[in-house]
Amino acid sequence: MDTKQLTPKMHGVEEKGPHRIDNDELYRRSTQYRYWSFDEEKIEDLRIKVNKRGQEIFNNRILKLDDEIIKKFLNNEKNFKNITVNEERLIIIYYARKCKDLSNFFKFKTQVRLTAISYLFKFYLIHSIMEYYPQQIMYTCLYLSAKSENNFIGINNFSKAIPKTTPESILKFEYLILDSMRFSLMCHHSIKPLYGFYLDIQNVLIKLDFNRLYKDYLLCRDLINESIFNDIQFLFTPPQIALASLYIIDDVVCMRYLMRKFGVKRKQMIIKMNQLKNNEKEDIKIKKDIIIKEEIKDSTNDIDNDDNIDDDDGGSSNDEKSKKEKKQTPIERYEKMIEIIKACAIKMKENINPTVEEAKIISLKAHFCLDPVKYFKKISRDVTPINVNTDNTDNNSVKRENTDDDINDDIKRIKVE
Amino acid sequence: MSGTSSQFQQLEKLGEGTYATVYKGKNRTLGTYVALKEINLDSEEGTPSTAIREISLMKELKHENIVTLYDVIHTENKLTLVFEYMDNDLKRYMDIHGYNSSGALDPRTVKSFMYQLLRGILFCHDNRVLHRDLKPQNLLISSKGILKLGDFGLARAFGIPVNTFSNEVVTLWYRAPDVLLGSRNYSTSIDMWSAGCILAEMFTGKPLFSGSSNDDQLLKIFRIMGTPNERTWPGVSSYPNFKSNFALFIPQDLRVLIPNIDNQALDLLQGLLQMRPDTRLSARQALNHPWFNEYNNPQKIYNQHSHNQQSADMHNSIQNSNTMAQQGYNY
Repeated sequence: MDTKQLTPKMHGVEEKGPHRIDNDELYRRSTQYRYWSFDEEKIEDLRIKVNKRGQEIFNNRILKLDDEIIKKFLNNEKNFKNITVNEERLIIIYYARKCKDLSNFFKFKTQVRLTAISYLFKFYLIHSIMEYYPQQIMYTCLYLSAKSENNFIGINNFSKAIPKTTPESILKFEYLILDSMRFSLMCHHSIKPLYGFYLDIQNVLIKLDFNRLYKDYLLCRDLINESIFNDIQFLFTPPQIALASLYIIDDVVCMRYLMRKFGVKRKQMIIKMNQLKNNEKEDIKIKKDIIIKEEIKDSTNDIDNDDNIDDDDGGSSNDEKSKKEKKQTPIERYEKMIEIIKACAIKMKENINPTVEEAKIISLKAHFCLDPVKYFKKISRDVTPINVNTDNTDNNSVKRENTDDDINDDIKRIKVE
Repeated sequence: MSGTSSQFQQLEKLGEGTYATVYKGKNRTLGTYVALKEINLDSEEGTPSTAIREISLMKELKHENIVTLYDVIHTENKLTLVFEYMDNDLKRYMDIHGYNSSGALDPRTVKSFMYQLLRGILFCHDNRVLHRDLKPQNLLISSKGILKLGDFGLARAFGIPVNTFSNEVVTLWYRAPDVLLGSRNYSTSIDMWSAGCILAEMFTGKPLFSGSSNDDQLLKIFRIMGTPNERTWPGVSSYPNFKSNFALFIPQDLRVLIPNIDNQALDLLQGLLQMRPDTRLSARQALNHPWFNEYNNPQKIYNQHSHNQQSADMHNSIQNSNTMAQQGYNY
């Protein structure tokens, strides 16, 4: 019998052989998984590389300058310390938060805001702030996101509302951003699965007080909206993040729901609950890379099926489930799920909110790196006496006035809003 | 994605898309053909949002029944999407291969195309994407008899809850009655109606409902499917464009209109052409329809030899999909 694929190879492009496409497989085929899922080490790696490259670009800029005063200034480590990986991250987060405010100002839907911020973080896994300053990139990310999330706004209106921009200044980065992200524009956010779980929990835990669940849901949404500034979008899948938010807000509901979903019996449940309590401390220590790389979301997407109820895929996914169960007992699957959720919850609680003061220092350094001549006076005047380093929390003594007009502009705008 | 435009030699124009011009292109190094969709960037808004959305979706939709986006190339004032090249679209295929120049295809070809169409649709829907513009011109056919969905310029991602969409989508002839009645809250079922229209058209070679305006389109549908009322379609009178004085028609027997259709295909067609969006078959249900037993059910193997190139190709793809089913392809 002929065993050729239904589709012959087209134009030299290999196609995967046909097999059942379940929800996990669908996610694995997404660019979010293929391009933008990492473990923590990998992200750190990328950021170090990006920082090094930015540093090289800056050094080359200085070499070409042939400006002895600036070179002399830089030779003294007390004058200027290189921008660190952490500083890069802080200023990006700072502008990601600005992006949130700006998106709210335009009354964009949630999706636009989340996608824009995701674009911004992705862009800076490829480029350094010493190459492109995040403020301008942020504007373009937001404009691009409004397009891809179908919330289009004309460039003139968009630019008019943002001080010191022109349509050209925003559009000129559009292709750069598209290309940097390798045109992977689709973002899957965890608010969708959160809503799915919210609906499904009502079907599964019928005795639950729905007012409590509704309150949980709202709190989870807030939590998810806040957690877009850390790295969880690269480390976990949307359903995992949704469940982790529920675990943080109401662990009892989360655990009961998952036990029911995985078919863990009540007796086992009680035993497990006790064990979990006893082992709490040990459980927290989990090898993240194993969790993330291995069967990335296995069970989460089984659950995330709720809009297909009318279809007859119930039968087939049951088959699939029973196959899996041969490998893992319900309680094992449940425990694994909880492990992932806990790891995600820990990451989720990481709240990074750089102060304006911190942002100003990094901003000045970044501007200096981008345009040494223009910002030399400013940086030599403002920071010479002190050892500038934002990793150092004791930076209240630093005098800074009008170091960055743009940042001040933003603040004014937001106060007006 | 690191193509340059010099990599491709631009050949003849293939057509005008919704916001772009499509050319045939030849890869200079590999000698293979591609379809080059050129998007003008002269627009004041930068890259058109339709292009952004099409790129966004096509990057995700990797499936054997969906046309592949290979590359995106940027030059000074245009963006070029490099798609895999397909020899024909279904419209032209029917013109060329339909018997007695009627455009009608032989039932086995219809079945194979329909099966592939539904697989492509299912993959879109599983990925939470509505195509919204399914019509024979947007279904591409390779010389090997493979059908792929193309032109995602109007496609939309959807989630739960289903957003309200604009109702100005889908070429009139393939537009679902609920959309024509002004529904802005449609979902996957709009693509299924289009699939039904295309199924009928493949059998007859003629569009099933060829209206000239929104109202005319509704009338053409009612003439064949019967005018809906609260009894046949609860809630129909609350659609924005519903009129209590619609001309009254009783449902016609589709078999009279499509004489060469067999019973099972007719049953599938009726499942797809449900006036009520909630009773219309889903792509998954349609694929499991008994008409497709020969594809879904591994026992049947077709071994007869054919001299006709076209049907030999069809024979191949049928046999291959049998293999596929044995490997456990499961909807």
